[in-house]
Amino acid sequence: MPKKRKTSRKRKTQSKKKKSASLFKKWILQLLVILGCIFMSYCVLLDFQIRREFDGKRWSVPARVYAQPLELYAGRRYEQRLVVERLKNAGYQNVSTLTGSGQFRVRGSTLEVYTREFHYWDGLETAKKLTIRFNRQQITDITEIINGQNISIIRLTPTLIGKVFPLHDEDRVLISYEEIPETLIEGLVAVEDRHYFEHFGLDPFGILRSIYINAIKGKVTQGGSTLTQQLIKNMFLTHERTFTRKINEMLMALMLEYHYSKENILSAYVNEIYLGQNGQRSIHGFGTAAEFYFSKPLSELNNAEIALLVGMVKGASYYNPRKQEERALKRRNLVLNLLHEQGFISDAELELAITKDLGVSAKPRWSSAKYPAYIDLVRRHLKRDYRINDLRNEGLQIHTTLDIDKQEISQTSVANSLSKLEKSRGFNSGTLQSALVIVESHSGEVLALVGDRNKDKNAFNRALDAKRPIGSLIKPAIYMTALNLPAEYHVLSALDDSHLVLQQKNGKRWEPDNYDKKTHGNVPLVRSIAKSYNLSTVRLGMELGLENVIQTLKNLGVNSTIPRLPSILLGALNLSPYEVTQMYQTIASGGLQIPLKTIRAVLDSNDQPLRRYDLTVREYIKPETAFLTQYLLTEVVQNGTASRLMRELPSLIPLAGKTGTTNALRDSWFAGFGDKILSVVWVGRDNNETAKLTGSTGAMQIWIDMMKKIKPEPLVLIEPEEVEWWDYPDMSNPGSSCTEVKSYPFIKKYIPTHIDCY
Amino acid sequence: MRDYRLFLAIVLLFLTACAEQATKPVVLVPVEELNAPVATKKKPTSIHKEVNKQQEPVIIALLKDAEKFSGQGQSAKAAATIERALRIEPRNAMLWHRLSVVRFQQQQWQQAIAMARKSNSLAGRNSNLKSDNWGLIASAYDKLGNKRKATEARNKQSNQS
Repeated sequence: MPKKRKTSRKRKTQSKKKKSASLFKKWILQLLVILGCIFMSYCVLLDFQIRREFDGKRWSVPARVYAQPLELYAGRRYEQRLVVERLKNAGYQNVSTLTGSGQFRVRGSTLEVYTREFHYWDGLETAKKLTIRFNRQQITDITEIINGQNISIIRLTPTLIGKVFPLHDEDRVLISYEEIPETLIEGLVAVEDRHYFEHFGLDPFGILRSIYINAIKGKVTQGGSTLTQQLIKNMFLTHERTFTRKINEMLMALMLEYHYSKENILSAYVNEIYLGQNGQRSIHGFGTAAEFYFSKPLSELNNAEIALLVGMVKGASYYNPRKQEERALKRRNLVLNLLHEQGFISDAELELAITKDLGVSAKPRWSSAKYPAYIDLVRRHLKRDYRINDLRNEGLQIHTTLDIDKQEISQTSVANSLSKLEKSRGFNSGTLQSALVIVESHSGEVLALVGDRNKDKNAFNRALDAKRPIGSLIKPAIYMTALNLPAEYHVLSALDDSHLVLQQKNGKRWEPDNYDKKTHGNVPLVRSIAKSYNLSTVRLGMELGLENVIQTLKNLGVNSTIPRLPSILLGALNLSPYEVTQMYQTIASGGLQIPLKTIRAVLDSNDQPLRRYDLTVREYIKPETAFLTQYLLTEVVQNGTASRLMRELPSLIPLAGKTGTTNALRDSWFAGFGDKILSVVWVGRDNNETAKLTGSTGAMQIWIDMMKKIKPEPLVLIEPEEVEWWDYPDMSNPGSSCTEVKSYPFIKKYIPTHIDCY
Repeated sequence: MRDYRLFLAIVLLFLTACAEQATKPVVLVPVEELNAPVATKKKPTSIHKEVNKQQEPVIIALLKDAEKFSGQGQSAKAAATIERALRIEPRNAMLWHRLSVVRFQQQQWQQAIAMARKSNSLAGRNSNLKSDNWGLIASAYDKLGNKRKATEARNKQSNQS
């Protein structure tokens, strides 16, 4: 029995053991299932993250950015040679007989063009064979060659000014797969990942090799990463070397390879990989690096240059060719030898390449587009005007308002004028900086934008981001506030330009002064602004109330915070040239504030326009008040601080404008407009030291230089129905005899009966 | 209003009194109270320019295109075409009026109002056009539920015609 008992006990323990074992197994299984679930959800999360990031970057088809098309119609003033230049820029061929689209030929004052078919936002414009006749810089008629029919208006294919990824903030030179030079692909494969086109994201041989080496050294040093893994590391992960990071990297590499083609991944790699540093900004991608190190496009690099960049993947700062020449050269030659060993380049090619210098350009250049400052604004407007999700689409076409002629003219004017000004002021070359904006005042379209004297640079876009005190450019807002109260003020109202002291809130006394350090007694309002008198302006502003002046500034479109301090009356208000332009746009357009824009339309890959947010057009300024203010600004040109325009641009008068100068001649401003064109120019120094320039000796010079070439139409002062012109004694200048008469505009209901002559 | 100005005058008087070398006290005299009749009133000069000049063929062609798009219910294209014409002649009151009509069709009431007002400010003596614009403004305000402004605009419309 005991035996039996023993056996049964044994059995019991056995069954107990069995039970616990199966329980244990169950637990393990459950644990595994739970862990599996966690792992699976983790993978799903990773997968989601990776696809979102990768789709968002879409390297294959960037958006194409176009300048505005040139519109030709009978009656338009436009020189024949400029049309020819534009055709050449757009890739048209000069031929002797027109046989197909994209060709032209010149016959005296006649131009024959075979246009290209093009999808615009308002429909398709078909290809046409045209005769365009010119007579003294003017188009007289346009006819279709086939049937002699008159064409009322024609658009020439717009110039492509850049390719961008709308949601990327950096200015990258992007390369599509087709554009990647063969040597680059071969180099990357030879040096970084020999089995790239065969593996599934991971290279087992590479991993084994790295495990072996790591085991010998006792810590993680050797990568064995595939190109896919490197891309993952660049896109998602930090550079710390831990096992978790490594595992993540492997998982993500597998997922990436599962979802995307080798070509897709390689183009992402070519555009994403880190290749150096330019101050605060990282150099990502071979396209950008080619511009940055060699100042030329990737497609123009020779084998040696490509090899140098490929070598830098391993450590961009360690092999920096500008600082570590020898190291970089050694590395480059190693890459060349590898290319040769694997049969990608011949003996002769190797010999030729290996004897070459590094060939790095002296100064780093950085630009994906011809007009980087303008493109910068386009990017900002894309995010302002369109839904982010729509911008993720591939192959968008962005039609901008850029006017290439005006952009080129303004860039040249800035560069030339600054050099002249530096010489005359005894500054070293490169001391002064400038920024400017040109807009079409009625539509708010930005036609040109300069953010740096060097047209290719956009590290700091001064037109948008340099907020500087605007000096007397603020004055029209004060006078506008007054003229908006026609029962109390008109253009000949007497203002007191005598000495003045203001007690400020902080207890400090503020004693503004006139620029000429003189007082002028009683002055008519129009003369006060024309001569830019400070004392009468501050008195007027205080009389009107700071709140009211601030409200006018807001109505004019100033969005920055405006301090409630009397000193704003003399322009102690920091604004960017772009914001000042918005402010003057409202005046120039007769009171209708239209947000400045650079984008006419964005078309998707099916040529359908994307929906944009509605424009908020505001009309806070009465047309009659805007008109009177415009009139005041024409007096600044006729008889005031901008009278040089009368001498230099006599055929364009009337023009309206205002000069601005800040303390110690730090900032020089000019804002001026004709009938359609408005431009605001700033000149100063980045370190905020004196530029030794007033508004009229600095910024206005650039403005004049530009307008000599742009030839804006003179301002037409068509008064709104509330306004009438009346003759009064001419008070344009102090000491006028008061016997000459001059027409001044007034609000009909408030024509003054008596006026003092000063 | 008077109180406000008196207050300002006092403040400014006070401020100038603080000045070490105050030259003159500042008192703003309203225009009606000025009593030194140096100036004489004269008839309006002929500076006014006629705005209803002959339309350029290119503008007519673009307006026709816009009408065509409008008729097909393609108001976005119609607007784009009028804007194209406006880039050539931004001071053409008729074009701003047409753009206002299209914005109205697109139910963009605020824009319709702004465009019509812009048209009015450029319309010179064209009272028919102004009357049409005030009509548009009134209807747009109706849509926005602003009865006061709608009535105001209607009154101006009847003043024009």
